[in-house]
Amino acid sequence: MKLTVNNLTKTFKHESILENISFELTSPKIYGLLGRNGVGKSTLLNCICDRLLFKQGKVLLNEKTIHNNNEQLKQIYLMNDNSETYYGWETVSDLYKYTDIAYGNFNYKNAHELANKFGIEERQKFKHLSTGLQTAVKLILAFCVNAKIIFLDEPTLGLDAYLRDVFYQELIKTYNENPRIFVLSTHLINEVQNLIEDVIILNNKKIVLNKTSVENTCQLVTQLQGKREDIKNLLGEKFSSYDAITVGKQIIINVKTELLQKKNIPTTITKHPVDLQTAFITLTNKGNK
Amino acid sequence: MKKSIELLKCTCRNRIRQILISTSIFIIFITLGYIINGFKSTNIKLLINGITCIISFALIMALIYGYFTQYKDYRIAMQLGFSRKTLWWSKFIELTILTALITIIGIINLHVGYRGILILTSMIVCMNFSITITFFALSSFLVLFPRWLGKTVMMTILSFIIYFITYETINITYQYPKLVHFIQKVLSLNMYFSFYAVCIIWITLMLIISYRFMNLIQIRRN
Repeated sequence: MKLTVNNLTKTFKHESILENISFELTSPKIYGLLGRNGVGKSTLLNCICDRLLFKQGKVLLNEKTIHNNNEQLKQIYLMNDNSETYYGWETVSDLYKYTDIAYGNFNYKNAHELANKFGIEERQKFKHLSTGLQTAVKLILAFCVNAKIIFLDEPTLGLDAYLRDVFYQELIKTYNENPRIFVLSTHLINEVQNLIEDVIILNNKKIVLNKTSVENTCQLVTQLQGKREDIKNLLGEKFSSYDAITVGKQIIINVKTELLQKKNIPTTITKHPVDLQTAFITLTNKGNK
Repeated sequence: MKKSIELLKCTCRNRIRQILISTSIFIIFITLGYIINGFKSTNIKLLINGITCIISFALIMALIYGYFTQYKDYRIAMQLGFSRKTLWWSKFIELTILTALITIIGIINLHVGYRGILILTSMIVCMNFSITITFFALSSFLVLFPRWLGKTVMMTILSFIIYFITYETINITYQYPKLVHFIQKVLSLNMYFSFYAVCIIWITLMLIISYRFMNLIQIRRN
């Protein structure tokens, strides 16, 4: 299974949303698609799944175009946060049936188990469920559908801490039982840090980090702690580009690791590793160009 | 075709639901009419006419509803991994079935009221199908625009249809005599081929237009 996105450019009313997006997803993994609000994550997923049209670029699945191609579209499934996806009056069971008719081999057994775990009454109408439970139903469909690539756009929308935990556990379980490509687009980076293997970061309409492992992504940013003057001398002009936190007489600042290359770091400054969220914030901060 | 049928299985439940709701509403009105009139007996011809009228109304409502839910149908089709092409075929099959049923019922009514006019069936089919496909093309076009605009235009058209149905005549199927009158005019002028040719060209044109527009539908931005 090979998904290729090649030079995808999407515009809305002459305003560019995505520019020359290119990447490939091949091996079964859990990928994290990260980006700030409005950066175009959902747009990208909608373009990949042929729900949005684009003038430039290609989306290929096993070297065949996805556009208007039922065979290829059946290999991918996009769970999105839009509540208008269904008519509204259908019960949860009806949605299982629809998915089964469309994709075939729907895992009803797993769906019933998941519905129990999420506390969903399958005879209830979809529109009568709360936002969190509607998300849970969409997750059930995504976990039990017979597709090779699953895109989860904001999969934790409205889920409480307990249900989020259920989701994370079930994601690992379903992935271990049936390894597939999962792409998670979420803002809860800390929570998914241990789930995702590779990271794709979107920023300023482009991909700034392409399929980099979580460890390597974290290594792209370093936290410095020391006296303001020492750090200012070390970073030079770039110092003003970063936000510093003052702790007593010292400051803490997260900077791109590349800035520290070929520089002698004084012993008065200590270096600390950062987590994925901190790395993401630093890498996508508009001032940190 | 197989995929279109699969999609139809998912969307038709909604249409059937709509037909049942429309039928129920119409039956309530008819019953109220009977109650108000003191259950006056009627002849069998009028009874059949009434029943076919109810079915006709429900089917036409389903047809209209189908035009309004074009975007919803698209959303569901996309969610279930169907292409726009499949959606178009599915819509085309659905509209063809509904139009065929409406026409058959109309003809049954004609048969009851106007024996011997069945020879005009093909022309009625052509006319009905032209109208259905024209609306299909129109709704496929309107779905490309913001929701408010599409709804306003469709509501305006619907208002005219309701006006036409309710004001001109309560019984929709009574429109058939007028249609037949028009077709008889065509026949008297010996314009068979021109009539068929115009209908076929028009239907083909509308189908191409609807297909082109259907291929341009996208997810709306929230």
